[in-house]
Amino acid sequence: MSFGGPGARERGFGYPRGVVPTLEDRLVIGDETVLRELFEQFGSLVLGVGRRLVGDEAETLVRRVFVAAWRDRERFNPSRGSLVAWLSGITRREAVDQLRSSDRRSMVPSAEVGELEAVQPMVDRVVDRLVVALALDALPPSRREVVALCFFDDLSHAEIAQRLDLPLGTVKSHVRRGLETLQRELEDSRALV
Amino acid sequence: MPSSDNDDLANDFGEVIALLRQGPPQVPSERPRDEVWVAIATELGQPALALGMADPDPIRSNGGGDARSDDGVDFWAAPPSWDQGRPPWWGRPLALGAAIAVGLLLVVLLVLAVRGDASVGRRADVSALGEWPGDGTAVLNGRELTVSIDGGTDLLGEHYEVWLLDIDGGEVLGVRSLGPVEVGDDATFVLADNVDLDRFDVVDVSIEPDDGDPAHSGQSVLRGELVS
Repeated sequence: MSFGGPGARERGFGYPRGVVPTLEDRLVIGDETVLRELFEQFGSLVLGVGRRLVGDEAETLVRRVFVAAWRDRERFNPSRGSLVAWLSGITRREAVDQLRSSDRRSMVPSAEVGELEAVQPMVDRVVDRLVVALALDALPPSRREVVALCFFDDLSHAEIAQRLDLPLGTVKSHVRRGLETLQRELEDSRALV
Repeated sequence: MPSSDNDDLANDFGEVIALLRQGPPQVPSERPRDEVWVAIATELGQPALALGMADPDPIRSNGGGDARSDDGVDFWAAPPSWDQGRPPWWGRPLALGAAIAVGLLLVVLLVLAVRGDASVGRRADVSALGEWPGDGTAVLNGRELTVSIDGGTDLLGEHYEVWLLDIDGGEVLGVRSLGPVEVGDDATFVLADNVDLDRFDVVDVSIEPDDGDPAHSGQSVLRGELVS
């Protein structure tokens, strides 16, 4: 097995001209150069989750997640969820394992230290929030703006309609469809553990 | 959001709404150090590559050319609609049905031509694609693959490369680069142990333009499956 980002192209491997496969395609096919790119794109997200959950062992979590992602790559199924949902499921699992195997229970900020059951909800809280944040970022800009005004700025639908000069029905539709998308990402992420 | 707008949404999306209500989330931006990538590559078995060092070159060509290395990388090649690039002077490749018909004829001719050969090993029943006027042979002995192409002076002036393909259900799933082959000459490639010949059992010869792009051009001229 080999890796090595840009170096792989110089070794005579690459894609036929005119073809730009997605990260998902490359993962499905088993293109090993994809792992470095996944690391570049998602590494900081996993590190952030790690900082919140295991503090200075966050880099260990990153390593565990990307090793697991490569070893489990054949289980990635684009029809069952996005790449983010899939990676976040791996992150949940590895974070729970890392917390449970850690002797340093004092790192667990929750009050229920020593209660193994408390680890999962704590991990879920952190990962859920990140999954929803990323899904929100990925919404079309107009929809994202409506959702943000609705839930972060606490405006009513009518106020949003007025501010953005949109029909009320459009605002309601944006809110509902935005929430549906976020919900789906969240459900996929949890189902893929 | 006022509760009058809220009610039926809360029923359906209560959990997501609760998460959003915690305020605009911060997407983490601290990047992992390079050492973390090294640790990942190390755990997956390739520490040298993680450090950017040259990898061992398991495929060697006796042609002395710049044989490309292959140590088990799979990569994804396009589905059948490859970009044709510069059209060869003999025209565009035939449609698949016609190519198969041509292929069958050439297979018959090739089999007749080599029937007397008692060498042990696997042979690829290579057939020309499109209207490429040449022909060729591909013979595997153990882990050595010998490929030749011929067809006279019409073929000169082009650069030919040999590949192994993983084709399943008509789709090219993987491509291994072996090295160049010259018209009228044999090129022998020693295949690394980790080249899985059950998967990469199609020998392919392509024309490669001199554009510095190491990827397969998509212009295959000769192809055949290794058979025992």
